[in-house]
Amino acid sequence: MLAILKQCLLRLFRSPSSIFFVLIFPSLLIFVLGNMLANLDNPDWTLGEIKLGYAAAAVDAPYEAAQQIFFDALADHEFIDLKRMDGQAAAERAVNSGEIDAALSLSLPDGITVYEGDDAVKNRAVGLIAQSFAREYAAAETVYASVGDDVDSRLHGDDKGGVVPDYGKEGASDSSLVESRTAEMSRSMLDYYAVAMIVMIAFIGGAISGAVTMYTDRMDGTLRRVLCSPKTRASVFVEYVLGALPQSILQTAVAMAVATVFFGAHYAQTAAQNLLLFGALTLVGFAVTTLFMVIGLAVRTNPYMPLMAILWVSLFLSGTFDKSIAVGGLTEHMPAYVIQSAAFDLTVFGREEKLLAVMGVCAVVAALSAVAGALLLNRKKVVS
Amino acid sequence: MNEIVRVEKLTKRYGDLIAVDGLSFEVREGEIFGFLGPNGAGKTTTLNILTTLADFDKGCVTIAGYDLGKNAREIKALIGLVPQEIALYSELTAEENVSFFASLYGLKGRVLKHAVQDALEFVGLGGDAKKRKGKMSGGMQRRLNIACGIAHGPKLIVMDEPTVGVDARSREHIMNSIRTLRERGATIIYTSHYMPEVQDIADRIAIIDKGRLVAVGTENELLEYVTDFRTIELDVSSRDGSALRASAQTLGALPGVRRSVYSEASGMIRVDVDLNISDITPVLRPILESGIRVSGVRTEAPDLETTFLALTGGALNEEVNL
Repeated sequence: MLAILKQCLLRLFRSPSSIFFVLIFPSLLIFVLGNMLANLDNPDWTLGEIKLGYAAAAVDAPYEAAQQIFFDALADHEFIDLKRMDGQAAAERAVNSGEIDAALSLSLPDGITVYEGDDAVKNRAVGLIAQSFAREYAAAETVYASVGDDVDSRLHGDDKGGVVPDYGKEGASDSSLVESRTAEMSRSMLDYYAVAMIVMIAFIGGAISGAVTMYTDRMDGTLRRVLCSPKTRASVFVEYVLGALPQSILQTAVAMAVATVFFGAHYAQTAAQNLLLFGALTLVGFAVTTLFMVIGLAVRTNPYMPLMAILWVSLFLSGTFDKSIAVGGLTEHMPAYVIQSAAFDLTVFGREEKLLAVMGVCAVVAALSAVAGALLLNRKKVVS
Repeated sequence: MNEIVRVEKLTKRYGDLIAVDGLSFEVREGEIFGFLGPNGAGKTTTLNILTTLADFDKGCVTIAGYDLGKNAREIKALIGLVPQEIALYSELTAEENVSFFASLYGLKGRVLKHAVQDALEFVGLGGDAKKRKGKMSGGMQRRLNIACGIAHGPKLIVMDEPTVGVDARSREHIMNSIRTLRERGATIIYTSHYMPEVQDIADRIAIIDKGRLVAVGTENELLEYVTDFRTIELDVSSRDGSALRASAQTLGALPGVRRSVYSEASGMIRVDVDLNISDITPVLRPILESGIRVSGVRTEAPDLETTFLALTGGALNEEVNL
């Protein structure tokens, strides 16, 4: 009964091109990517301890609030030796003499002056600290403009019962204002890229194998021979579709396993969510394969090269290769982008809704493609 | 003999093109039925209709008493197709290929296993069951192609040029296999571009042209269609094909000459002349005057090829008709 399915499986494991797309291509991609991203995680320089001085030339209320939060937190940092200086001139002198590595002179709201020392790397780090402080100050200024009195009372602990929150200490944030989210795992870039690459593999592997298998079987006459048998044409197409399922399962499993085992990639928080992710990505590959089988039934020339070109362009425009590539009004609607966003929604935030929606759409696409394929196969001129 | 296939006024159109035009013939049970026609004559379309791969617009086809329009599934179970192309899966072994196609007809278990073994042994591939298609010679692939079409024991086997591109040994093996299939009771519809092969193997032959049946019968019956001319074959040697074609055209215009054809493959000009022409010197003169060297002249009575040319106005394969 499932002769075509069995035949598809045998061909899958014996065809060099299928083996390439199912086993080698995903592994190779993850391997190259894993090594590349592992190097990105290594620092180019060792920063060491920064002796940082700061001096306040002018003080206003938002500054006071921002300073308290920011510099208290900074002082707790084990790599920063923070020292308050007596004015701008003293700060400059200390830098010039090498007593400290760099200094910040804060004349807020007018601006921040950075006195840089000899170490370019430490200078860059101090520059980033200054930028962070400027943002902190801007935030405090906004809060003051709207609820200044309340902030005053909370900062100074007046008779209204206000308490100064110690934002500088981990876990001490005011939960009424800030939602704290701890990832519970150390994330690397590969966690994100692995998902993006598996979606890419599902698209490329599914599309190529779906379209080329059907086109090849049509052209070499084997499909004609199958259609001469008493099997109904609908059942022939459905068996072809089912035969594509193991490939989708394998290529997703191989890509996820290689990224995890060899490069320590993480996906979702729980085993159930990881299973959901695996199921969703498999279903994506299956839907793509089924859809492109229909295309393989309709085209008159070998679809390999045109498909490769179209797929790479479409994946490029969906930001799969570089997130900075985005075409307004287009990228966010590209299937690969939508699927990747849904997958990240699950892996990063633990939200399942988008991925479930993607699975629903994929199931509908696969079902409609199967119907379209059966109907197309029934038009006898497809094979005669 | 009872008829197993009856085709009546079969018509198939592709847009404005009439591929099959009111074709009628019958195939008798247990015979090898040769199906001849030049390229574009409608052979493949007719075979596609008989094997349920194509629809038809008008007419009636019955196979083993079943109406093709209503009982396609029952008919499919009775038919075995040996297509012109080697329709096999490269990744599968000989055994797996035969097993797959036979299983589509409902064979399974021991029955399937025996059917596969029988089919492979029948085509002389019993010792190559574990070989994949890619490891086989062209002749072996052709034989495997036949095994895949007969393993399920069809009553009617449709063979579309099953010997294309095979060596003499494999061709002989295939021809003997086809005769054995007939002896076992199968009916075979056989097409080929190789005229002597059809002459050799077919019990009856149908010639179709432009979608119509031109003639049908045994070889002797067909030869009776053409009795009033003889053929002169001129063995010419020249590298200038266009000059030879031009000369053949000149001959064709001579009084008493019915047809003149230059065959590049055989290096011959075939001239059909009326039986009442006893002196062939006027036929040779234009050739000799054009400087073309004639190394041999042979005259013969019409054969099947001559008959085919006379009936269809065209050659079966690569010959150029003028």
